[in-house]
Amino acid sequence: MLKERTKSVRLEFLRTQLLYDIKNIAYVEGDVMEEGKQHTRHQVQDIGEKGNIDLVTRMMDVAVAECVEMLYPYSKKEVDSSTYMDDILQETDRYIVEMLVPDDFSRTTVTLIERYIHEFICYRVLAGWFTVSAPDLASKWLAKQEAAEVAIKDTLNARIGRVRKTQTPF
Amino acid sequence: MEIELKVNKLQVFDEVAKTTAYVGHKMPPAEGTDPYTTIFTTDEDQEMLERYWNEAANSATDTLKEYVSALSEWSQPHGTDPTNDYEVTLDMTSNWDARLATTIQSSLFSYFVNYVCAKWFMLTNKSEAEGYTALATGHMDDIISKLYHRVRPQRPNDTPSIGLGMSH
Repeated sequence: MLKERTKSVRLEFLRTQLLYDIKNIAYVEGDVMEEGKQHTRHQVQDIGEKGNIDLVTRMMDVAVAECVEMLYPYSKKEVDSSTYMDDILQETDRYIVEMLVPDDFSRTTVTLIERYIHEFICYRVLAGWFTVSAPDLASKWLAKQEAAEVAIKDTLNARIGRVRKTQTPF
Repeated sequence: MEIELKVNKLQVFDEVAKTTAYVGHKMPPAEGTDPYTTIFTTDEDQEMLERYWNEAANSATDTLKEYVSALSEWSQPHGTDPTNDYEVTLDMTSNWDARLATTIQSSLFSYFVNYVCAKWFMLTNKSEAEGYTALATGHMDDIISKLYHRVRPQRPNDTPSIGLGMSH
Protein backbone atom coordinates (compact mmCIF):
# COMPACT_ATOMS: atom_id res chain seq x y z
CA MET A 1 0.00 0.00 0.00
CA LEU A 2 1.29 3.41 -0.95
CA LYS A 3 2.05 5.72 1.90
CA GLU A 4 0.13 8.97 1.85
CA ARG A 5 2.24 11.90 0.75
CA THR A 6 2.43 14.76 3.16
CA LYS A 7 5.20 16.93 1.76
CA SER A 8 4.25 19.62 -0.67
CA VAL A 9 6.51 21.49 -3.02
CA ARG A 10 5.52 24.76 -4.63
CA LEU A 11 7.53 26.01 -7.55
CA GLU A 12 6.99 29.58 -8.70
CA PHE A 13 8.06 30.87 -12.06
CA LEU A 14 7.88 34.62 -12.27
CA ARG A 15 6.77 36.01 -15.58
CA THR A 16 9.31 38.85 -15.32
CA GLN A 17 12.18 36.41 -14.81
CA LEU A 18 11.10 34.16 -17.64
CA LEU A 19 10.62 37.12 -19.97
CA TYR A 20 13.99 38.57 -19.02
CA ASP A 21 15.81 35.40 -19.99
CA ILE A 22 13.76 34.98 -23.14
CA LYS A 23 14.37 38.58 -24.22
CA ASN A 24 18.03 38.38 -23.29
CA ILE A 25 18.65 35.32 -25.46
CA ALA A 26 16.63 36.83 -28.31
CA TYR A 27 18.68 40.02 -27.99
CA VAL A 28 21.96 38.12 -28.28
CA GLU A 29 20.70 36.00 -31.18
CA GLY A 30 19.73 39.19 -33.00
CA ASP A 31 22.95 40.94 -32.09
CA VAL A 32 25.17 38.23 -33.58
CA MET A 33 23.10 38.09 -36.74
CA GLU A 34 25.03 39.09 -39.82
CA GLU A 35 24.68 42.58 -41.27
CA GLY A 36 22.00 42.92 -43.88
CA LYS A 37 19.45 41.05 -41.82
CA GLN A 38 18.21 44.13 -40.00
CA HIS A 39 14.56 43.35 -40.40
CA THR A 40 14.92 39.77 -39.18
CA ARG A 41 17.12 40.98 -36.36
CA HIS A 42 14.57 43.37 -34.98
CA GLN A 43 11.81 40.79 -35.35
CA VAL A 44 13.91 38.35 -33.34
CA GLN A 45 14.70 40.94 -30.67
CA ASP A 46 11.13 42.22 -30.44
CA ILE A 47 9.93 38.96 -28.94
CA GLY A 48 8.56 40.69 -25.84
CA GLU A 49 7.00 43.68 -27.57
CA LYS A 50 3.44 44.74 -28.15
CA GLY A 51 1.49 42.09 -30.04
CA ASN A 52 4.31 39.57 -29.91
CA ILE A 53 4.00 39.32 -26.16
CA ASP A 54 0.57 37.74 -26.55
CA LEU A 55 2.05 34.91 -28.58
CA VAL A 56 4.75 34.53 -25.96
CA THR A 57 2.15 34.35 -23.19
CA ARG A 58 0.30 31.61 -25.02
CA MET A 59 3.52 29.67 -25.51
CA MET A 60 4.47 30.07 -21.86
CA ASP A 61 1.03 28.86 -20.79
CA VAL A 62 1.43 25.72 -22.90
CA ALA A 63 5.00 25.16 -21.71
CA VAL A 64 3.96 25.31 -18.06
CA ALA A 65 1.00 23.00 -18.69
CA GLU A 66 3.37 20.54 -20.36
CA CYS A 67 5.70 20.68 -17.39
CA VAL A 68 2.89 19.99 -14.96
CA GLU A 69 1.94 17.02 -17.09
CA MET A 70 5.55 15.80 -17.09
CA LEU A 71 5.48 15.90 -13.30
CA TYR A 72 2.27 13.93 -13.35
CA PRO A 73 3.24 11.40 -10.63
CA TYR A 74 3.55 14.31 -8.18
CA SER A 75 1.41 17.06 -9.67
CA LYS A 76 -1.73 15.06 -10.42
CA LYS A 77 -4.93 16.77 -9.40
CA GLU A 78 -8.28 15.21 -9.94
CA VAL A 79 -10.87 17.27 -11.77
CA ASP A 80 -13.70 18.68 -9.75
CA SER A 81 -17.17 17.35 -10.24
CA SER A 82 -17.73 20.25 -12.59
CA THR A 83 -14.81 21.86 -14.42
CA TYR A 84 -14.93 24.90 -16.68
CA MET A 85 -12.04 26.24 -18.72
CA ASP A 86 -11.85 28.84 -21.47
CA ASP A 87 -9.17 30.18 -23.77
CA ILE A 88 -9.31 33.85 -22.86
CA LEU A 89 -5.78 35.26 -22.93
CA GLN A 90 -4.66 36.17 -19.44
CA GLU A 91 -1.29 37.25 -18.18
CA THR A 92 -0.26 35.83 -14.88
CA ASP A 93 2.46 37.35 -12.69
CA ARG A 94 3.72 33.93 -11.73
CA TYR A 95 3.19 30.38 -12.80
CA ILE A 96 2.82 27.96 -9.93
CA VAL A 97 3.57 24.27 -10.01
CA GLU A 98 2.51 22.35 -6.94
CA MET A 99 3.56 18.83 -6.14
CA LEU A 100 2.89 16.31 -3.43
CA VAL A 101 6.09 14.35 -2.99
CA PRO A 102 7.19 11.33 -0.97
CA ASP A 103 8.80 12.00 2.40
CA ASP A 104 12.23 11.07 1.16
CA PHE A 105 12.08 13.34 -1.87
CA SER A 106 15.38 15.17 -2.12
CA ARG A 107 15.59 18.95 -2.04
CA THR A 108 18.41 18.78 -4.57
CA THR A 109 16.04 17.03 -6.96
CA VAL A 110 13.50 19.79 -6.45
CA THR A 111 16.16 22.39 -7.20
CA LEU A 112 17.23 20.61 -10.34
CA ILE A 113 13.70 20.16 -11.59
CA GLU A 114 12.95 23.79 -10.92
CA ARG A 115 16.00 24.91 -12.93
CA TYR A 116 15.19 22.58 -15.81
CA ILE A 117 11.59 23.72 -15.94
CA HIS A 118 12.70 27.34 -16.15
CA GLU A 119 14.98 26.42 -19.05
CA PHE A 120 12.30 24.35 -20.71
CA ILE A 121 9.79 27.21 -20.67
CA CYS A 122 12.34 29.70 -22.06
CA TYR A 123 13.59 27.38 -24.79
CA ARG A 124 10.10 26.37 -25.80
CA VAL A 125 9.06 29.99 -26.22
CA LEU A 126 12.24 30.83 -28.13
CA ALA A 127 11.87 27.83 -30.44
CA GLY A 128 8.27 28.80 -31.11
CA TRP A 129 9.12 32.43 -31.75
CA PHE A 130 12.07 31.69 -34.00
CA THR A 131 9.91 29.34 -36.05
CA VAL A 132 7.98 32.45 -37.04
CA SER A 133 10.62 35.17 -37.08
CA ALA A 134 13.89 33.41 -37.98
CA PRO A 135 13.39 29.79 -39.05
CA ASP A 136 17.17 29.27 -39.31
CA LEU A 137 17.41 29.56 -35.53
CA ALA A 138 14.39 27.45 -34.64
CA SER A 139 15.98 24.00 -34.83
CA LYS A 140 18.77 24.92 -32.39
CA TRP A 141 16.32 26.07 -29.75
CA LEU A 142 13.96 23.21 -30.40
CA ALA A 143 16.86 20.85 -29.66
CA LYS A 144 17.54 22.72 -26.42
CA GLN A 145 13.87 22.53 -25.51
CA GLU A 146 13.88 18.77 -26.10
CA ALA A 147 17.07 18.39 -24.08
CA ALA A 148 15.48 20.25 -21.16
CA GLU A 149 12.43 18.05 -21.41
CA VAL A 150 14.57 14.91 -21.34
CA ALA A 151 16.48 16.31 -18.37
CA ILE A 152 13.27 16.88 -16.41
CA LYS A 153 12.05 13.37 -17.14
CA ASP A 154 15.45 11.81 -16.38
CA THR A 155 15.60 13.62 -13.06
CA LEU A 156 12.19 12.32 -12.12
CA ASN A 157 13.03 8.78 -13.25
CA ALA A 158 16.33 8.80 -11.37
CA ARG A 159 14.46 9.85 -8.28
CA ILE A 160 12.00 6.98 -8.65
CA GLY A 161 14.89 4.55 -8.99
CA ARG A 162 15.10 1.08 -10.41
CA VAL A 163 12.88 -1.61 -8.96
CA ARG A 164 14.54 -5.01 -8.76
CA LYS A 165 12.27 -7.94 -8.76
CA THR A 166 13.35 -10.86 -6.66
CA GLN A 167 14.05 -14.10 -8.43
CA THR A 168 11.77 -16.04 -6.22
CA PRO A 169 8.40 -15.26 -4.78
CA PHE A 170 9.51 -16.66 -1.41
CA MET B 1 7.18 54.80 -26.69
CA GLU B 2 6.37 57.52 -29.17
CA ILE B 3 8.72 59.85 -30.96
CA GLU B 4 7.75 62.86 -33.00
CA LEU B 5 9.77 63.85 -36.01
CA LYS B 6 9.32 67.11 -37.83
CA VAL B 7 10.91 68.34 -41.03
CA ASN B 8 10.47 72.03 -41.62
CA LYS B 9 9.74 72.67 -45.26
CA LEU B 10 11.13 76.21 -45.30
CA GLN B 11 14.38 75.04 -43.76
CA VAL B 12 14.66 72.25 -46.33
CA PHE B 13 14.07 74.66 -49.21
CA ASP B 14 16.58 77.10 -47.69
CA GLU B 15 19.14 74.33 -47.56
CA VAL B 16 18.34 73.29 -51.12
CA ALA B 17 18.78 76.91 -52.22
CA LYS B 18 22.15 77.10 -50.45
CA THR B 19 23.33 73.83 -51.96
CA THR B 20 22.22 74.67 -55.49
CA ALA B 21 23.71 78.15 -55.20
CA TYR B 22 27.02 76.72 -54.05
CA VAL B 23 27.12 74.03 -56.75
CA GLY B 24 26.13 76.55 -59.44
CA HIS B 25 28.71 79.03 -58.25
CA LYS B 26 31.54 76.49 -58.23
CA MET B 27 30.75 75.06 -61.63
CA PRO B 28 32.86 76.43 -64.49
CA PRO B 29 30.76 78.35 -67.00
CA ALA B 30 29.79 76.38 -70.08
CA GLU B 31 29.54 77.84 -73.51
CA GLY B 32 26.71 80.32 -73.70
CA THR B 33 25.18 79.37 -70.34
CA ASP B 34 25.62 80.49 -66.78
CA PRO B 35 25.49 77.41 -64.53
CA TYR B 36 24.59 79.53 -61.53
CA THR B 37 21.32 80.77 -63.03
CA THR B 38 20.47 77.27 -64.29
CA ILE B 39 21.22 75.37 -61.12
CA PHE B 40 20.28 77.79 -58.37
CA THR B 41 16.66 77.35 -57.28
CA THR B 42 14.52 80.46 -57.26
CA ASP B 43 11.00 81.25 -56.16
CA GLU B 44 9.80 80.44 -59.67
CA ASP B 45 10.98 76.88 -59.23
CA GLN B 46 8.92 76.48 -56.09
CA GLU B 47 6.15 74.44 -57.65
CA MET B 48 8.63 71.94 -59.01
CA LEU B 49 10.43 71.74 -55.68
CA GLU B 50 7.10 71.22 -53.96
CA ARG B 51 6.54 68.12 -56.07
CA TYR B 52 9.94 66.78 -55.09
CA TRP B 53 9.16 67.57 -51.45
CA ASN B 54 5.99 65.52 -51.72
CA GLU B 55 7.88 62.65 -53.29
CA ALA B 56 10.44 62.73 -50.49
CA ALA B 57 7.64 62.77 -47.90
CA ASN B 58 5.90 59.85 -49.60
CA SER B 59 9.08 57.87 -49.73
CA ALA B 60 9.94 58.64 -46.09
CA THR B 61 6.47 57.61 -44.97
CA ASP B 62 6.75 54.37 -46.89
CA THR B 63 10.00 53.56 -45.12
CA LEU B 64 8.67 54.52 -41.69
CA LYS B 65 5.22 52.98 -42.11
CA GLU B 66 5.94 50.04 -39.83
CA TYR B 67 6.01 52.46 -36.89
CA VAL B 68 3.80 55.37 -38.01
CA SER B 69 0.98 56.18 -35.60
CA ALA B 70 0.16 59.72 -36.79
CA LEU B 71 1.01 61.75 -39.85
CA SER B 72 0.55 65.37 -40.85
CA GLU B 73 -1.15 66.49 -44.04
CA TRP B 74 1.94 67.46 -45.91
CA SER B 75 0.69 67.16 -49.46
CA GLN B 76 -0.30 70.27 -51.44
CA PRO B 77 -1.25 68.96 -54.84
CA HIS B 78 -2.18 72.39 -56.16
CA GLY B 79 0.00 75.35 -55.38
CA THR B 80 2.54 75.62 -52.63
CA ASP B 81 2.37 76.10 -48.93
CA PRO B 82 5.75 76.75 -47.34
CA THR B 83 4.38 76.21 -43.84
CA ASN B 84 3.15 72.71 -44.56
CA ASP B 85 5.79 70.78 -42.67
CA TYR B 86 6.25 67.03 -42.58
CA GLU B 87 5.36 65.72 -39.14
CA VAL B 88 5.23 62.10 -38.20
CA THR B 89 4.74 60.28 -34.92
CA LEU B 90 6.35 56.88 -34.57
CA ASP B 91 5.20 54.29 -32.09
CA MET B 92 8.45 52.57 -31.21
CA THR B 93 8.92 49.37 -29.28
CA SER B 94 9.89 49.56 -25.61
CA ASN B 95 13.30 48.04 -26.37
CA TRP B 96 14.16 50.65 -28.98
CA ASP B 97 17.16 52.83 -28.22
CA ALA B 98 15.53 56.22 -27.51
CA ARG B 99 18.89 57.99 -27.51
CA LEU B 100 18.82 57.79 -31.31
CA ALA B 101 15.77 60.02 -31.74
CA THR B 102 17.78 63.20 -32.28
CA THR B 103 20.06 61.68 -34.89
CA ILE B 104 17.06 60.19 -36.73
CA GLN B 105 15.55 63.66 -36.84
CA SER B 106 18.77 65.02 -38.27
CA SER B 107 19.07 62.21 -40.84
CA LEU B 108 15.48 62.74 -41.94
CA PHE B 109 16.13 66.42 -42.57
CA SER B 110 19.24 65.56 -44.60
CA TYR B 111 17.28 62.96 -46.51
CA PHE B 112 14.71 65.55 -47.59
CA VAL B 113 17.38 68.04 -48.63
CA ASN B 114 19.39 65.53 -50.63
CA TYR B 115 16.33 63.96 -52.20
CA VAL B 116 15.04 67.33 -53.44
CA CYS B 117 18.54 68.31 -54.63
CA ALA B 118 18.96 64.98 -56.45
CA LYS B 119 15.68 65.43 -58.26
CA TRP B 120 16.49 69.02 -59.10
CA PHE B 121 19.91 68.10 -60.42
CA MET B 122 18.36 65.48 -62.67
CA LEU B 123 16.94 68.43 -64.59
CA THR B 124 19.64 71.00 -64.21
CA ASN B 125 22.94 69.27 -63.47
CA LYS B 126 22.87 65.56 -64.26
CA SER B 127 26.48 64.93 -63.28
CA GLU B 128 25.67 65.71 -59.63
CA ALA B 129 22.32 63.91 -59.51
CA GLU B 130 23.66 60.44 -58.86
CA GLY B 131 25.81 61.60 -55.97
CA TYR B 132 22.90 63.33 -54.26
CA THR B 133 20.65 60.33 -54.83
CA ALA B 134 23.26 58.18 -53.11
CA LEU B 135 23.40 60.66 -50.24
CA ALA B 136 19.62 60.58 -49.83
CA THR B 137 19.62 56.77 -49.90
CA GLY B 138 22.44 56.71 -47.38
CA HIS B 139 20.48 58.91 -44.98
CA MET B 140 17.42 56.72 -45.32
CA ASP B 141 19.50 53.58 -44.70
CA ASP B 142 20.89 55.30 -41.64
CA ILE B 143 17.36 56.00 -40.38
CA ILE B 144 16.29 52.39 -40.92
CA SER B 145 19.36 51.12 -39.13
CA LYS B 146 18.62 53.36 -36.14
CA LEU B 147 14.95 52.45 -36.06
CA TYR B 148 15.89 48.78 -35.90
CA HIS B 149 18.46 49.21 -33.18
CA ARG B 150 17.49 47.60 -29.89
CA VAL B 151 18.84 47.84 -26.38
CA ARG B 152 19.56 44.91 -24.13
CA PRO B 153 16.76 44.00 -21.69
CA GLN B 154 17.12 45.15 -18.11
CA ARG B 155 17.28 42.57 -15.37
CA PRO B 156 14.07 42.66 -13.29
CA ASN B 157 14.35 43.39 -9.62
CA ASP B 158 12.08 40.71 -8.21
CA THR B 159 12.06 39.54 -4.64
CA PRO B 160 11.29 35.95 -3.75
CA SER B 161 7.84 35.37 -2.34
CA ILE B 162 7.74 34.16 1.23
CA GLY B 163 6.66 30.59 1.58
CA LEU B 164 7.62 27.03 1.25
CA GLY B 165 8.12 27.06 -2.44
CA MET B 166 10.93 28.04 -4.72
CA SER B 167 10.76 30.93 -7.06
CA HIS B 168 12.88 31.62 -10.06
